[in-house]
Amino acid sequence: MNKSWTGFNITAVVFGFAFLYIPILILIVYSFNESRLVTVWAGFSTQWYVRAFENEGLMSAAWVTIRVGLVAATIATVLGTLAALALVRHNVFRGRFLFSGMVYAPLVMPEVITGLSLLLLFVAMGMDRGMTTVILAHITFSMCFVAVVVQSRLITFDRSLEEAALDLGATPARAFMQITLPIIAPSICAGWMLAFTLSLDDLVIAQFNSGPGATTLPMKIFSQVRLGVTPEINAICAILVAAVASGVLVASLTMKRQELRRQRAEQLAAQA
Amino acid sequence: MNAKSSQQRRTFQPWEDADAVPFIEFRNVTKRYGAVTAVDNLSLSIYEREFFALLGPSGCGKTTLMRMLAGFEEVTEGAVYLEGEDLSSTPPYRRPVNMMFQSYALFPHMNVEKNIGFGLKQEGMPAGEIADRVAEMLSLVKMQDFAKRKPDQLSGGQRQRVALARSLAKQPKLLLLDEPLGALDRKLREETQFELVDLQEKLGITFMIVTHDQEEAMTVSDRIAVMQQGKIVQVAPPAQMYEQPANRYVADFLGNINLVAAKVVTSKGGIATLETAHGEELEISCPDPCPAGAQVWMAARPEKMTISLDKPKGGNQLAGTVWDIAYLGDLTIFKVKLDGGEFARVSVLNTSLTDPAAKAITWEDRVWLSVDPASALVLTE
Repeated sequence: MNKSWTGFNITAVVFGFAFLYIPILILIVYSFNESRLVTVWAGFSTQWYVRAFENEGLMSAAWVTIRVGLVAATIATVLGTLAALALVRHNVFRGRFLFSGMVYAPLVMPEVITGLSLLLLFVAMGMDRGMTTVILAHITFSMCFVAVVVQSRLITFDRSLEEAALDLGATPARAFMQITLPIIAPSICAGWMLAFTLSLDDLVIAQFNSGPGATTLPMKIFSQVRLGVTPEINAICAILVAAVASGVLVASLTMKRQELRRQRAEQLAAQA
Repeated sequence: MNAKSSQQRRTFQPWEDADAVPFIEFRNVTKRYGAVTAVDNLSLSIYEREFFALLGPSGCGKTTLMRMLAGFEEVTEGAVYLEGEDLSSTPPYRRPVNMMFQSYALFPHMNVEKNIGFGLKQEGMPAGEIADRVAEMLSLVKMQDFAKRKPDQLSGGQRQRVALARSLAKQPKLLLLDEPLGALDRKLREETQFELVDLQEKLGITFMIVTHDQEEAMTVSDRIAVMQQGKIVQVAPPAQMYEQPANRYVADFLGNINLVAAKVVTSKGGIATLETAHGEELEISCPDPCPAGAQVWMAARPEKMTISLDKPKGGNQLAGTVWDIAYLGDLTIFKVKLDGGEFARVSVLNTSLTDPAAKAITWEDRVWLSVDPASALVLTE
């Protein structure tokens, strides 16, 4: 582990990060551009942020996206957690193999197909396309991601904890609420975050299943870009990047703190 | 432990009393997992206030048997009774039985206090009473200073104490202990074994322990059941189990024993004359019918045989060559290759500081192992 930085290492790291982050950096830099022309630098300004917040079309799309994300992620988390429980806890039920395959299929299914098939379903059911159909579509494709995240936690969950709760007089429902749920809560939260992020940046499926009054932010951005990239779009994208980055930062800081606390706890135990 | 309680303990033998009502009863219990039979048509009675040990190698069905009592495994055939009531339809959370898990299963998100109080809270006990009982339990296991700690802030021994306190907090009629000391180091394990015995006497609760450690079973229990492949081979108090094992399996599982194959020549008045395959003649006590010509085994514990360089007077000797010597401090163990080809172990107590037992005996010496007719026994299976 004690390898020093060689020239090759440094070059590899620099190129790697450059490849990943230069496009995003350019986007953020130009969002502070004075000029209306996206590619010509004309001095620093925050006017496009102000304009973006004044743009009712963009703001209503952002609001739709957040609402869709919150509702879809929450329902997907509940359903995904239940699916994970069924898959991990009941090893031998009829059709388990089929069920696990069906839970995972949407992970690899091309989005175009998911979107189109859902559209056909909604048309056949006679549902008007709008907020509800977008939410339903997002639940469908994001719950399997939640199921995968929660399942990986449940596999390592010590069943004797639940048995101990039952043994001490807790009904199965209480044992689940008081013991299992608090312990697997971090992975459920991670599943929720994942579902929310997926919903936030989905374009293809929303495009198929959305209707009037339910234009999401990615749809709005995509349609505006076709008319030309405006610095407003840059600004709103930069805000999205900032939001996601701070989310990641908070999550990793929390984990770091937990790790430190765990280490301290172990020291305490060793001294005792 | 005061003299009175040890006196009571010595005379505590409800299994000898024909009128005693069993506290727990397994009646023809069978448990199958698909094609595998974990417990095979097993019947067993355990009495109130007894400290009962289930002993056997892993996979013998002892844990399954315990989990049936706790309610985590359903009985395939037969039934389990507690105080005469069939437990089959009672879910684990309604049984007056608590269990201490092998992994301790302490709730990681609750501190010691909350862990111990968990069962009481489920009962709906008022908060004040819970606090009192938790304090009582903490002092019982000497963990008063750790009430606010989380399980991951405790050492292995402390976790074990918390787990014990938690399983005792509801004052169960029966406490199940699943390999309770398996995770502790040797010194701590031995101390804790004696503490468990004291605790059980103090509380008067029936304890049932599952273990694969024969020393642990002998230290703590009133009676031991040795299991093999889903069946109980023998149920007896530790001393009887050790001195009069039912067969070679039990004899070998509990401590060391020297087995020498032989045929019965004659049998009279509880003493059988045996002839080993090598042609040596032995007189050994044989309480069972020992018909002449039967294939049997002479069984003698290492500490019940004596070793000497000169051929002693009288009979009952096996000749051999010293193969190995192990000096263990308190004992010296001689591993001897008998003329018949079997290996036998003889242990000699080192009673003197300067003169370790039989130090004159060394590797490859020709020796004679003698055994008293009453100190060995004949095993027929």
